[in-house]
Amino acid sequence: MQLHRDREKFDAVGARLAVIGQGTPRHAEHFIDEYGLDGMTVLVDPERRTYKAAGTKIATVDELFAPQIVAKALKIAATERLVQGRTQGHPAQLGGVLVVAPGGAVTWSDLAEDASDNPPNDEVLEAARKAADNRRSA
Amino acid sequence: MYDRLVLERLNRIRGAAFSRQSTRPPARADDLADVVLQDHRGDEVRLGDLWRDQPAVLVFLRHYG
Repeated sequence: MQLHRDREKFDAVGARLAVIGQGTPRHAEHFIDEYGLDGMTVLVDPERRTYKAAGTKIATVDELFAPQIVAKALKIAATERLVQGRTQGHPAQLGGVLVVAPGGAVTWSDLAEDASDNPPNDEVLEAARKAADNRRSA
Repeated sequence: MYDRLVLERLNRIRGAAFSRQSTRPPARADDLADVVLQDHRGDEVRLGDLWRDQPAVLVFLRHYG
């Protein structure tokens, strides 16, 4: 998921981008250093409490390694010039995105159905913009 | 290197679900609001503070990198 590459755009629409991962603070720090994310909110949840509360799921073998999923993931990695590091935490835990408005309503969500499933950045940005606009007009 | 890749794949398979699960996005983030996580410095952050004054986009990663 490469939403962090558009963090300035999220700032511009008035939304706060926060990344949550399964590792340790050291993993988060390395992630920040590797992608140049100084100032970005990067949190760790090694117990995956937030993953469960967000409604994400654990993948089956098929949802991790089916040929079409692997092919899509490799294509994304090549396009984004990603080099996958070692997996931390639960090896089959999938991720996702929630947009939460002030007050706690989840106004948009996209939770991964397989290992290659990520929402386009533009869709997430539009959801964040709408949430920010709704707040301004409230 | 090949052994490491095989072990990595086996580790992933070992943790995989036996049957397909459904995602369950919540309508509200109330269960998330009072969760306190650490950031990269080890400082604590209450999740509800992230959307107190502005919308928050929470990105749940499979893993870092």
